[in-house]
Amino acid sequence: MGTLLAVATSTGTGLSALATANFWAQALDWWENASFSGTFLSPSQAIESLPVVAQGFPVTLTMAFIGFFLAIPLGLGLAFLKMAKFAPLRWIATTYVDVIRGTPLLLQIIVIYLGLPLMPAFQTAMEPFSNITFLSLDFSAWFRAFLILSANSAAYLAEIFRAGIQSIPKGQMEAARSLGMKTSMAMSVVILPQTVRRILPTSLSEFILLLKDTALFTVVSFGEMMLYARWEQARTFNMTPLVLVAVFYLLVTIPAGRIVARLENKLAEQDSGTASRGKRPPRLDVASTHVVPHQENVLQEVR
Amino acid sequence: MSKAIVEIKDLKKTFANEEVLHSINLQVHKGEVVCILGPSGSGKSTLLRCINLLEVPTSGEVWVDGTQINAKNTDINKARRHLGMVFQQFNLFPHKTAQGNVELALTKVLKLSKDEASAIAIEQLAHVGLADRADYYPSQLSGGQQQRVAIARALAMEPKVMLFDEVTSSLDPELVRDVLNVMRDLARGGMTMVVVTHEMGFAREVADRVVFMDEGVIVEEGSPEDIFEKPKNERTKNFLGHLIEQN
Repeated sequence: MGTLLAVATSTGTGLSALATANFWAQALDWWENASFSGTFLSPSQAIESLPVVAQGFPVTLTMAFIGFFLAIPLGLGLAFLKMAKFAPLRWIATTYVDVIRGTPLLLQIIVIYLGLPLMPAFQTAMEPFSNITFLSLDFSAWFRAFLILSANSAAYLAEIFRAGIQSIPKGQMEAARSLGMKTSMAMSVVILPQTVRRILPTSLSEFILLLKDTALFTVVSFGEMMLYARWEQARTFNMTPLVLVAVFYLLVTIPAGRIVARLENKLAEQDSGTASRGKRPPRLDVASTHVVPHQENVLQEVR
Repeated sequence: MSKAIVEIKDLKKTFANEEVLHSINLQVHKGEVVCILGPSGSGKSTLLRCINLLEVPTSGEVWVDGTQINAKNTDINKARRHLGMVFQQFNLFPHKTAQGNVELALTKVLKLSKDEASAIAIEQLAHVGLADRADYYPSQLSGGQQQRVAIARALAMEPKVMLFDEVTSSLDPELVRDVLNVMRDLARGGMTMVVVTHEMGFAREVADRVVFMDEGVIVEEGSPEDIFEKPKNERTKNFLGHLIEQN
């Protein structure tokens, strides 16, 4: 009796598993053929296009990271020029920033990326590096991409840096100078370290923008992630590769955005004097901020 | 009298066409404590800031220990090492601990090793009664503690003259005493000090000489007894009278 029951049960389980598998297969079939999901969210298409799109992912990351990395010193230089005492230096920096920020990046990409190779001088300059390739792109292409991205981002960073430096109270520079520091030293050991903390969130937001902007290089057929996705889309008449590429962008931009938010909170806390960063001493309680008698004793003993 | 360590000759300072200091002459001798009193806007802070060239005099001469510091060929960064300055707003470096604040100029300006700097920093913080706060950041210290760190930071450079610019003006009354105690000890130790202050009690007790300024001129100067007990000038009398009424 017991054995019979067991057999019946196991047969039942087998049947229901079969039915479940069948259900999912049917569901998948329906999903693949439905008008919306089949066009934008086709799993089979995603699997097919994944290796192609993924191929462009390191290219996009390299563009964004190196472009941004190069933009930092450029932006800092521009920020100092904007604050220069000598007016013509300020004019140069202001004009540069105005032109870059006042024109579409797409325009800058087309003009510089397609324009530079038209100059014989540029071709000659690139000649010695012609056998260098990275991620299937030649040196000249990388050079132009980094040039455009860093030159563009630097203009935006310059404003962030300048505002950051000028937000540091004047007394900080005065205190540093009164201790015998030169302006340049005061800038590097007192002002800039404080500025970095303040501008970190905004600069990181700038990085996120830059990462997304790399997609514009598709128009000059620079082989980054978006271009691969477009090829796949054109080849298959299906939008799924583009949704897939969106996921790749989000993979970077969402965590980066969370970091920005966290940094901003931390900064707000530090400015109000309540943060505890790493191994810091405990916060002062109200009692210890008042005059404690033994402190005077310490003073008298030492003197 | 020993020779003047600070000498100001015919100093004038103009801000945007308005002369805020008119022909100031002042000498400070070695070991002397000079308190500068006067109503707000009298130019006393500007005068103090002219001594270490945070404000550049429009004309006149500022001599510190035999060097004319507003001369063209003077290395002001070197000259400033002999002039400790303490500010009303403390101006501690918020990204450094108390100890880091004291060490910074020692390692960067005097090029001392990290160990030497740290030994000096700990010693100076102990002098101002804050040995146990060495690892605290300025935001974790009270105003009075911050100001004492600022004093330690200036003293660590072994200045020949200390300049105090209304150092207790932004402190809660109960925190003022600690800072004044440190300054009093410093004066007793023989430090040359120029103190811009509103603390009449401190000026009366500690100052060797009191200078009263109004509207960009030195109206009257003399011993604390002279200035506080029998002021000669009407403006001095008025100013001190107001203060007595307030208290």
